[in-house]
Amino acid sequence: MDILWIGIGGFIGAISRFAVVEAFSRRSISSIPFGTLTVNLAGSFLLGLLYGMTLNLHLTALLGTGLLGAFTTFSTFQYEIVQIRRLYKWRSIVSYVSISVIFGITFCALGYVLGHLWT
Amino acid sequence: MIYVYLGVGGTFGAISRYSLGIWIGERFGQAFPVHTLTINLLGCFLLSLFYTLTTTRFLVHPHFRSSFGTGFVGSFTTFSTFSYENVTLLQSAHYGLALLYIVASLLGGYLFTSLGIRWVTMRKAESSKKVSKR
Repeated sequence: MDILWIGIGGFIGAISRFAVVEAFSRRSISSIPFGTLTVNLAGSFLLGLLYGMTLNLHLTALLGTGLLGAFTTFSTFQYEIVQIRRLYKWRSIVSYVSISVIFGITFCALGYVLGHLWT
Repeated sequence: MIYVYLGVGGTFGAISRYSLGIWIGERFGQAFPVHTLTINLLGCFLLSLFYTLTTTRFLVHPHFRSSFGTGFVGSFTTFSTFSYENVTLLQSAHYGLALLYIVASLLGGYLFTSLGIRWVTMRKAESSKKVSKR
């Protein structure tokens, strides 16, 4: 049964990620991929928030494992790093990686605390 | 219409991540997130392999490229769970494990992405060498 919820979440998550990344790629001229950065940071915060609030298991499967799991991405993040490396933009790589990891974890923890306070 | 292809890819990506995650979790336990690490590294290899193959060797429909690359592999790998697992490790004062997890994900991800690209370009170089010998 969980599989169904996760599948629906994955459907929405992948489309939402595509929409956000597209919206950013039209505007951005920087070598840092802000679209992927935004989905990964926002998704980390929201997943923390979701796990902070203790919701029922079906909702957690739909929104957490399905939607937010698919909304954020690790493979594209790494693929972009290899692409930036080809341009020898070392400072962009260091900024992109450190912002993603440090803020990803911080936002997730912040979301968790907020979710806990909320419920 | 592109959204439907992306969504279908995302559905299979999320379900595969969940199923493979449970399968690995049953074998390696939950103390260290081996399941997410394996999924993310496997996805890195798969994405770069697929993108490189479809730009250098085969021409596929752009919708299939988005559906499999952005939809399936993009949803198969995950960043939010990676962040959450680090929060859990840090919260339980497993600072060394959190550091190991971050380093293994970042270096491993870079390595597997490069490997996916290298795999295609090396085989291409080999096959063109054979052709020139003839």
